[in-house]
Amino acid sequence: MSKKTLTLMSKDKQLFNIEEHLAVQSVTIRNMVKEDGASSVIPLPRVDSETLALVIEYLNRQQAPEEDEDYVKKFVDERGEIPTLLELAQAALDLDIKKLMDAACMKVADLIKDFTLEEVREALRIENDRTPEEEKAIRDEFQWAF
Amino acid sequence: MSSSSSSDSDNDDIDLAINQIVMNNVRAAELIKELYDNNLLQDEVGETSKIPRGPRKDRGREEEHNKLVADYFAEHPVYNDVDFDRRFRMSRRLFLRIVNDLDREVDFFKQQWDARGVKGFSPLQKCASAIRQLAYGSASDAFDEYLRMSETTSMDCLEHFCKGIIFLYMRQYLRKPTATDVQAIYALHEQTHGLPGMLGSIDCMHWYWKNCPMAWRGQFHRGDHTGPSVILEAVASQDQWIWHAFFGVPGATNDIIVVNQSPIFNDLFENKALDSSFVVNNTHYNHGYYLADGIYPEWTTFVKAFRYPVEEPRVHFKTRQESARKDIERTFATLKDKWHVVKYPARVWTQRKLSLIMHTCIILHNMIREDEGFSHYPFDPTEVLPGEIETTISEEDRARNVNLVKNSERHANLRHDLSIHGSGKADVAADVAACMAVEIMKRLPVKSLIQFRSVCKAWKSLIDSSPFISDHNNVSQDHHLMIRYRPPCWQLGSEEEVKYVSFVDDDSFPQNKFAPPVPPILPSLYGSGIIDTSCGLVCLEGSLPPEGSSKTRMVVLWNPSIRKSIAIVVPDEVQSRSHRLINFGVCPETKDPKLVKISSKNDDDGNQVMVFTLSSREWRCLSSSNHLPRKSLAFGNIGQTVIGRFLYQFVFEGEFCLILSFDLTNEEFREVPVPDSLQQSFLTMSKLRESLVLIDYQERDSTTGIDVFDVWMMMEDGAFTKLFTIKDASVERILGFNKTGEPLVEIRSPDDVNSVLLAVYEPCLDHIKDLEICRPGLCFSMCSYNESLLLLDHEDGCIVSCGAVKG
Repeated sequence: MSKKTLTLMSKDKQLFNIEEHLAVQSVTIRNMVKEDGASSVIPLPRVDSETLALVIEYLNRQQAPEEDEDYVKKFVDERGEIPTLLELAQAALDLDIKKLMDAACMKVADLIKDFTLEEVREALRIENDRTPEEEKAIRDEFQWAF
Repeated sequence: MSSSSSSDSDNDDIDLAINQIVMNNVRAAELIKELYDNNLLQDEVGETSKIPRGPRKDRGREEEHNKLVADYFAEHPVYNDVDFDRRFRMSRRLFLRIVNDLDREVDFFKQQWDARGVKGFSPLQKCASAIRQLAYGSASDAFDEYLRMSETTSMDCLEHFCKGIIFLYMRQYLRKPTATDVQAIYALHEQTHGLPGMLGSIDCMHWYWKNCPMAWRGQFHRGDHTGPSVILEAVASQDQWIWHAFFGVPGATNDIIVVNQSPIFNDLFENKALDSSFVVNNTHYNHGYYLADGIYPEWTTFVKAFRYPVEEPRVHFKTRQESARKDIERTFATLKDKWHVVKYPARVWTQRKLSLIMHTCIILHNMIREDEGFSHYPFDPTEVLPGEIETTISEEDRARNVNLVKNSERHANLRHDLSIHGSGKADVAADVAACMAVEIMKRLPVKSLIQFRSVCKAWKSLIDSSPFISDHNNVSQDHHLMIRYRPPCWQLGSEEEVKYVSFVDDDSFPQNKFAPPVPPILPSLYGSGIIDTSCGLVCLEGSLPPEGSSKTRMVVLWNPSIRKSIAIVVPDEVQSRSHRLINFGVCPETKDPKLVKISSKNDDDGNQVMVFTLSSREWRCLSSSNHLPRKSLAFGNIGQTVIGRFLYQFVFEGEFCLILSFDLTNEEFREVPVPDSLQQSFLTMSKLRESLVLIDYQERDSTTGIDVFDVWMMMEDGAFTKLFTIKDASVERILGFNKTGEPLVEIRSPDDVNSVLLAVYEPCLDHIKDLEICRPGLCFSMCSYNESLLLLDHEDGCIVSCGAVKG
């Protein structure tokens, strides 16, 4: 059986090649291939090229099934930056690659679980939309946790 | 009865005319062909011929016509406009317009005389009869006394009225939006909902069909509905104008199947659609979309609300989408309230008539909306309507168009653009974070989530929402062991000295521990004890101090990870004779805590089972359809175990021991046999990871004089396998298992014969290790739980009284 190659296009119009049997680990791509048959370029308008490069590095891994868990863990551990991990998780969610998304989200959760509220807001770009009094009222419901 | 005798030739006329519409209007073709083709050739299967005509009665129809005129249509009518509006569902102006049109165009409605020169019914009477039947949904002979019309004639009137309305008005009042209409709809929705490119809201409605043939009931009856029904799929705009109606799919199907059968997107698939492009957030889209609820597929033509919105624009968009989608629900309510015939189960016998009536009601509904001034969509009869142009398209092009519509990526982009459109913000990084926040939060430990409720408003409402609480529970969380014990110098009644300590069950065990504050009601309960744990909830029971002869039993549900608890009063029967057992488990699908109370009043009645669910806060009795435990079974009060959706406990039939399982999802009991080799011994049950474990205790091995414990695990096929045997003189009891599968045991203290210690047995080394925790202590009991957010959406410390019990 000859190995077919697919071309993926990122948000900034960069092209990436990947063998089809590796690309179909993504359920989204698998469905596209099944429906369209021989479509040449698959556009991924929400994934930027750096993230797509990472995703392709992950898809190209050559690991024995029993070492796979550890590999995924190591793979996300090496990219310990929250913004990168978020982009990666988002891409994995869009492309429906469950293991990668689980690992990336788990890593972010591990990183932020001991953050203070301010640090969480900064890391995830969230604005505080409460007054200090309101915030205190919510804290007081669960005084023991702080 | 000359008027009805001409109906056959009349029918042919209509059918011919309808054929003309068929030539011009492809969509009308689909519907009307379905409606009439059968009729032209032969009656639909199952359609019986007309009810035989009864003997002629002199009803005095002419006087009645005069009376009707005097009541409503004279210069000074008895009933005013308000009465007319109420009884005919439309203004007098519109009604007279319909009567005149029918009189002019349809032979059936013309005033006629029979061979004896007797005058037939007037057009007014025939229309009034049809309208009354539609409006009140009453039987055909209900107006005999008032309109002096026999049942047969009334039915004829209704059928011809429906055909006439469809024939005359369908092209105008149930048309596909023209280019002008699309712009008007866009403008309306942009103004009222702030959503550009919205064509309307889509949803399905069921019309119950009382007289559905028995043989078809299976395909017309869905379990969550009360009877057989037929589905109407409709699209309505904000002014409640119905733009699309697709009727006739059997009621057993769901909305996805209906939309796949519906011709709604055929124009798009066949390149016939109008240019309905619009721009949102600087992106160009080729065709409009419909708002839909959660079940609809992720196509470019539907816009659904976000399931878990976190970031502000998305929360805002969800609110707007949901409030805008109400349009279709309002329209269905209006349609049903106006035309009671579709509100009540239909009594007609064929799908053809159901379809006629439904389309008539929708066309009349639109006419009334226009007449009352709510909608204004000008119509030019000479205009070529969308879909009326015949085009041919190759299979491949069609398949490509279908793929373009069924594209979930573009669906996501459109929804994203729309949510940005309303908010004016477009921060990509923040947006990615918001998108992933739910997935990340599902994986956070409970304590962090409790803290992060303060991060922003959206996070708090997300964490507090019940779908999130149950989703969070599905992701594996930290494991804990809770140990309950009391100090050695404990005296009866001093319940507050009972200690509860929780250990994190990981590699560090038993280093990380904390003592959660016990539920406030617990110290006041006598004889309290742990029933079991499930989904992070610890269930305890006890009794309030007796007042006189009555004793109130209480169950406390306690989530130690978020330190919340709820107390529930157990209903008491006066004549409780033998046992009363309380079992507890959380249904894994709904995450709803359930209590099961099994009691036997006396020997003849057998067992009575009552179930309490926290969501309903009610106790109800189970009926015998749930396979109640057999009468001959006796319950031993030696604890229960919840594994997945099953709740297990021992029961005895004479000397014979069985395991009774209770399915928490469908509430059925079943019996699981215990192997013969274990029958003669003293058994207890426990949980090892997610499997049921039986512990077989043999007192004093005859040769060594040492107590022996055999640990058996139930495999997936229901058979039991022996895991290991503990033979150690010091071991008193097995309390439970930690995460790695090692049993925690109670051992006799080597220094003091009267005191006991907590230890762990390591099966591979056959070694017992003293844990040096919880000492000095007595009466150890243990349970394991995962962290969870359950009870977060309940008030802490509240007491649920037993109240009324549902039969």
